[in-house]
Amino acid sequence: MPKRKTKPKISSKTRWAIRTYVKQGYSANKIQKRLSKQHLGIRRKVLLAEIRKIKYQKPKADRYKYTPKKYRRRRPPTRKPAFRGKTVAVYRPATTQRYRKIARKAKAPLSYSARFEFYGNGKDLGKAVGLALSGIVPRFENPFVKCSARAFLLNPFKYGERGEWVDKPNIES
Amino acid sequence: MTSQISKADPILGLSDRYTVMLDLDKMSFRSARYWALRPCAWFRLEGFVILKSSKKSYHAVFDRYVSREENLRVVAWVAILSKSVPLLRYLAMQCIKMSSTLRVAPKGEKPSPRIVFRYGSQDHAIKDFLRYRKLIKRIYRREVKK
Repeated sequence: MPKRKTKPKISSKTRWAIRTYVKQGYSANKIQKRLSKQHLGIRRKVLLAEIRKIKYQKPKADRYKYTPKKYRRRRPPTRKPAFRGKTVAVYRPATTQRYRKIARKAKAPLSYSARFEFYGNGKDLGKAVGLALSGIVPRFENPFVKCSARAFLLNPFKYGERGEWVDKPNIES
Repeated sequence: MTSQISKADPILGLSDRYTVMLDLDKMSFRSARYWALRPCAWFRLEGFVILKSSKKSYHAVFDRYVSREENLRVVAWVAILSKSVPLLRYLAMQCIKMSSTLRVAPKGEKPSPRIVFRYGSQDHAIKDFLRYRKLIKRIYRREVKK
């Protein structure tokens, strides 16, 4: 489908009139008044841009600065990094089958202190915590894991292994 | 030596580097409030909130965002002056993990910490803390209680 031509902002008649007035050295205000008298009124913003074009001037660099305050569109508020540095910590002693085998040989406690720290958006955090609760615990070689919730969801066995979260061991001697 | 293992749900907490958080264990409410007020005035932390985590255990969260170093400085200052051993242990853990953690979800029979005292400004770190706490509580309700 051929592209539709966009409607020009100024008619050729108006453009011709503006060019003449600019050559005669009229100010923008005067030109606007003359044009409106001839029923060729246009917006000031469009007129100023056209005059600059005729005078071979560069368009104004900082448009926001030169727009009157009442016509300025409000800039979207810059998003504050509210949760910068904040993570959800999932922690408790944990144990795995592999660890228990080694611990029994070494006569060490059968659980180790483990901890996940997740960061990310709320949805991912919820899913990651759910996955950790379903029985994935950090490996005993690397019991403190800090990772993004999304990365954990994509590849949970990179950060942990199957195991159980347990209570603090009651050691009886 | 024998050790028994019983399954349990993990604890959910909030970990942050830039918010000053104190774990005031084995303290009455009055002394917890005193040890929250002193650093608040000394380091100009603008305000704080005290949460009761269990009997004679309180958490204090301060309103001004600080750098990692200043965070450690405040906790160490309170720990030394109050001569609180649990707080010194908390400081040591903070140094190891490079962030301070406070419990948000229930733990065994203990309910989740609830706010018992507010002081000063609450618009910055406390506001974000409470928002994040809400999020974690929602996750807990959905995932753990399921």
